Amino acid sequence: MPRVIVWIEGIVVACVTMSVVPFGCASHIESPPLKQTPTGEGPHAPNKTIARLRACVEEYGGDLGGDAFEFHYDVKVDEEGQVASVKSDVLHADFSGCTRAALRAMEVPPELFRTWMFQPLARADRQNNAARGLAGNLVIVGVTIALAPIIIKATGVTIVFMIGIAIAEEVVEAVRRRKSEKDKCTDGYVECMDSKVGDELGNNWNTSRCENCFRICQDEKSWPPRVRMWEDWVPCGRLEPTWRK
Amino acid sequence: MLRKLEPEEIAFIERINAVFLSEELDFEEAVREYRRIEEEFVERAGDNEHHVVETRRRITEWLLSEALRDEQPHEVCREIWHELLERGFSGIENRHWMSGIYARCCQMNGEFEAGLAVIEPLIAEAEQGLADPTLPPNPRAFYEQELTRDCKIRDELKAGIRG
Repeated sequence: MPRVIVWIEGIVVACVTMSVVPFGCASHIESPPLKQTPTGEGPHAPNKTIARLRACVEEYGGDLGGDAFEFHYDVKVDEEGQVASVKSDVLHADFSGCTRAALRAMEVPPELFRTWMFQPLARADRQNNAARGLAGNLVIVGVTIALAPIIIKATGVTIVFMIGIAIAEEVVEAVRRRKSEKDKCTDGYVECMDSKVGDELGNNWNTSRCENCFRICQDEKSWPPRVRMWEDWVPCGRLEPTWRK
Repeated sequence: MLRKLEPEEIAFIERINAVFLSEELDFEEAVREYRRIEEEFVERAGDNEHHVVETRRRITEWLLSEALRDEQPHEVCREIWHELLERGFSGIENRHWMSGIYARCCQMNGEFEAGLAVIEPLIAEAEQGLADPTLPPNPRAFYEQELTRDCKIRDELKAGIRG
């Protein structure tokens, strides 16, 4: 039974490396940039995926014709967290097929995926994304996330798996639209509070009218023109012709 | 004639806005700030039980809105929702609006059945109300508007649309 060592390097190294080694040029490296101290820090592929990659190394690693390699994988996932496609720069057909199948079967944790989806978008404006902690160890470049490298030694060969996870453009657009709908309500609330009705009473104690309008906006995903208040329908501020104070 | 917001209410709303519109606070920090506001204004309410109850309800309502806006996981939304159920709704409007917000949280997290469990009774209630020919014009208009909104949410939940 070959001794198999799997450990994860820091994500910064991954990102820097990926930025200088383009996809599509698999390299047989003489001195792989390996750390000798295993670390469990940082997000990584699920254990099941790592185990499947390890099985590929055990089965086909000896056929690669060298003792150290660095391979790159470009993984695309859809909004539901399912892997949609996997491309690699591996030339060996069996090894390529085996490892791509392992990555295609990868299950991305939903909460982590959600964080990935929103983090780069949230950074652009508001900073209140509570899930930031989940993404603290991820490096997000645009809509591509570089996972920590996976280094597997087996059958006398060392392989560094560099995995970039990309979110499809159409998915990002959908998320942008979704986020924009949510921001519409916050923007509407701010404008309402700044309008002539900003000081108006809402339907309960400690409630402003703008708060009532905001709740409806969250339900409806658009700022309402008016709200029912004490048996009357009253404007929600910003959509009136002379809404400013 | 509507009354005006009282100075105490204006102070409360200003404190809420400082948290809600802050660009510095993450969700956990915001929750702590809302709880501080709750503690402070409940104390200020003194023996006025109505103000105490309403202040607590407002805080939980803001928490649920914040959870939706901040894309919190279902467990977080559900916990806040249960707190809101315990604290009760101030009226039919708040019951409908906050239920809709919770249903949106469920939708966002792919918990479609949980969302439907909340939204379908509201639809039944609105339909029943509208079927009553003696229903006065104002509640009728309210139910009509709510029915349209709730049906839209229900349809999205049934279609399995996350959003």
